[in-house]
Amino acid sequence: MTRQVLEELRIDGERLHMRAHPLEPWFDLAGIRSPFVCAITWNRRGYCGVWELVSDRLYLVGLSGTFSNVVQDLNFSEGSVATLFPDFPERVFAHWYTGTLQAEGDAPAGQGGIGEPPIGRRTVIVDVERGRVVRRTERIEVPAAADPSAPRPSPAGGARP
Amino acid sequence: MTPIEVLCFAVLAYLCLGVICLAQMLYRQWRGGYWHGSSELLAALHPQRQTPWYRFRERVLAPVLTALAIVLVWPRAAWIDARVAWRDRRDRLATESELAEILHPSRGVRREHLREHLTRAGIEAQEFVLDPLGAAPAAPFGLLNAAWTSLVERERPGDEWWSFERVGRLPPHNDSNDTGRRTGRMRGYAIVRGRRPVAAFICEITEVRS
Repeated sequence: MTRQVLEELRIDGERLHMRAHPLEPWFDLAGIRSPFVCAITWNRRGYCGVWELVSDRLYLVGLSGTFSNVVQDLNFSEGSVATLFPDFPERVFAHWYTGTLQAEGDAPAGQGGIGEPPIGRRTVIVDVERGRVVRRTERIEVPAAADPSAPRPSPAGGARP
Repeated sequence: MTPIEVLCFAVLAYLCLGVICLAQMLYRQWRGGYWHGSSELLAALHPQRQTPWYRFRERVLAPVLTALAIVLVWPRAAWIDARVAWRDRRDRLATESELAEILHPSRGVRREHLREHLTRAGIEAQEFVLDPLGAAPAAPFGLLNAAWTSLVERERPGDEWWSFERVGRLPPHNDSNDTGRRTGRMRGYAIVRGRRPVAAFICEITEVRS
């Protein structure tokens, strides 16, 4: 199956990709079918959401999707969700969502300055209850070659004592 | 007719059927709205899809090769197309059945699902949504307040309010191939009349991964 487009999760100004789809429970709760249709093989669910964690709350801040016969970009510049939530066009608090979000992205080196190469992969796991963050764990996987503390082979080929 | 002419006629007829099959599939694609481009947001999220080579593969190479393959092996393409159409219909019917259960949750709530006896005021206080950024209605159950209000209107004197929790089937996702395998834990509140749940409201669904 074609690799599917990932949704975006913004945490502390960083943009990570996540596999969870927090909008799906909303369709279930509202008792509606998803209004989006699959228009491209790499986005079978028909939409892509941009989410943000602010003050330990989960918000939907951008949405792009394909409606039945019309492609409609719901993300007006910095994110609008007006088509699904007309009363909250800028952002909507995802209080309907309970579950675990796992997001991944590059781990910046040092202060994360522009042009600084990432030191590895950053994985953030966020447990959300009714839209509120109840637990957040984070791990950074550094490739052995980039980890200065990792043992390096000696010129003779053996490990250093 | 010579055998060569018969063979040529058969090949031509086969290819004509392939073209008809291709035209029918293209028409279905067009009706389904699949010919529209992707959005700017998706492009921004995945810049690698904006390279000329990727665009050429996506917009020229893949469609041309697919069309050729459909014309050449149209029986196989028709079989795949029929299977997709059947699966879409099956998903639609399953979705409608499961949505009906969510829209009328009292159908699925039984006495053994009831958890705690509460008061309406207590529920509303417990489930009041107040967002500091004003990104949800300041009301019990926030965006789901309309459903809650319609449940409250069904309350009669002597009714009891209970919380409930149960596991049930959920409508399939758009990107799901396994219809009916999606289940979720549903939490909500029910009106109990004469020890029997008569109306209910689901406020939380957590998908259960099997």
